[in-house]
Amino acid sequence: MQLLSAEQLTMRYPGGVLALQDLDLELEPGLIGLVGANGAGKSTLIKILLGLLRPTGGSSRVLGLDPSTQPIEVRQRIGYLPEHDCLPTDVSAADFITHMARMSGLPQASARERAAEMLRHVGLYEARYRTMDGYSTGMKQRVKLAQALVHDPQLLLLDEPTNGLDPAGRDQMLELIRRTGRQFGISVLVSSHLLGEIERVCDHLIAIDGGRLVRSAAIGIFTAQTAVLAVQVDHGLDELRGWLDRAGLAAEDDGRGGLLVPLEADGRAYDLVRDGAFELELPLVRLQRTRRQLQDLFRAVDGEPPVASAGFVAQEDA
Amino acid sequence: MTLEPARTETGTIYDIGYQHYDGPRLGRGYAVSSLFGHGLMAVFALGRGLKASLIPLVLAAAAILPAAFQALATAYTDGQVELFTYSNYFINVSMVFAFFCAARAPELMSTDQRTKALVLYLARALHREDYVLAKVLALVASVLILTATPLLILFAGHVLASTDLWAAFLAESHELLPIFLSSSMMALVLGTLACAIASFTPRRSLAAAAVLGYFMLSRGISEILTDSIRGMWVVWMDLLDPFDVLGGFADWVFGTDPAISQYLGPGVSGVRFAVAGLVYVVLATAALLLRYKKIGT
Repeated sequence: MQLLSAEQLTMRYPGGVLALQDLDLELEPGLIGLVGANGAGKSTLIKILLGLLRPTGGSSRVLGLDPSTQPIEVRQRIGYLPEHDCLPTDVSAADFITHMARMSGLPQASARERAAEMLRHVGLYEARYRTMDGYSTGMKQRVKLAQALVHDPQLLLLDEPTNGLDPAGRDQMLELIRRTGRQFGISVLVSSHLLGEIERVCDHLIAIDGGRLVRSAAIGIFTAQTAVLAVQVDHGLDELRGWLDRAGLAAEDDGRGGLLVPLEADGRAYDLVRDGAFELELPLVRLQRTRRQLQDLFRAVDGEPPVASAGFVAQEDA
Repeated sequence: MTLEPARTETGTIYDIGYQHYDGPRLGRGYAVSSLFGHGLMAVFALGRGLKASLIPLVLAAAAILPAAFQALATAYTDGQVELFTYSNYFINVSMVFAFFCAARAPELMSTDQRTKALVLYLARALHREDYVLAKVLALVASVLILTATPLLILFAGHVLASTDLWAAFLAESHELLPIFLSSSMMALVLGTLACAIASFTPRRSLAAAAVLGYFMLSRGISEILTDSIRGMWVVWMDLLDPFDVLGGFADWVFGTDPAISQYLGPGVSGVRFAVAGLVYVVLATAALLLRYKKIGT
């Protein structure tokens, strides 16, 4: 069955802000990443899919249902993790998640049982009777994941689930998401402004920018190998570049102290770089075929980097 | 199924795998009634420890105890001492109800806005309107407990003071419908007004002050206008104070003699209090629904 689809989906807020513009989507079940800069329309899309916002144009379907006409049926089948803090502080995680399960229609006994089970799944079993005001950001984030899972949804909508987490907490959360998708057979749509995270857990990627769909495809396409060799030497970059030039290879400076050498079908470039480094007695530290970066995807759109916001820049260092 | 050790902050837990849920899903009606029950518990802070329950329970006691004393007095003095009657009870303890609503409406309406948990409710098997109505009805039902109980205690006092219980019950039973009507009107008007006011701010202390402030100010403004305005409009000014409306409604349904009633009088029909009460309920509910159309997403 088709997981999600959208046709000409448009959302214009009363203030006039155009959050989504003619979005067309067709998605099969799986782990789906939704990337875009802050303000690209990720949260708006998620809220429309939940039936919380009514689109001003176009239509969408979730698990075969229209969220704007059958919101309750849709919401019984999906779990939602909002991007902001949303937990009360004066109740225990176990009580809160039990309550949330009842809000999705689970009888009291099942609600209690599933709440405990989900808290164990996210690694908070021991802490489940403590009130949540003492929880760390990482623990709160995992409670949010547990409440999204408690009614056994077929689809999870996770809005920036790694927001505010330290690197270790980030890893744990990504691993939980990956396991939820792979082992439990629950489809996940996870939004992030960090491409690296999407790359690690998802098998499909949707990129949106300024409310428009940039690309929707299997993740492999975005990260496929390219026909370019990345070359780094400890020193003597210009000498090597000149040498390769004379040998007939037009190397380019990659702007980060290395060279990019076009790899032709005969694979001659590997040998030439090696020979050049040997002849000039340069210490060759890297000779590697580059992978396409997810970032390129955004740059390719209209020449300049439209979404080179803080998020993407930070990711390059990671 | 393979056992996979999951590293957590508290140690290694062997995950026995994820179990899908294939039990019943009870849907919207169940979700709403659960939320109503949850709200009722929250109003009296049941299950939150004695400290949290202190204020609601003290106020509940303050609302009910005068009736208990009156019932005892009726029994011991053979009906000679009658400070509290069915119709004047609310007005004499009205500030207790005002305090109760001001203290507890924010718990229901402001807390989910402050913690932003509201969106988690809206993302589940209920509509916005369901959420609002479940919350409001929780406060209305709580206030109803506080308004109906003392009147029923007065009723019991009248019956038990007699030697022939059955005859006394029959003689007094015509008061049961007015008891139900006046306590329900009290609960509906105060509950919806307090919820509507509290829903406009996520800050609980501000919400409590606003609810209490509204009840105080409406009384003051109503009195000033009644004193200063001349002409045909003056008889409408008391309707600006919800407590006057409720007092008048109680006098009307209990058939208080217009000569001794402070609300009824020549040319002042009790129906206007009934209509005014319902108008308050409708306006407050409409304000709530409008408010919740705008927030939570």
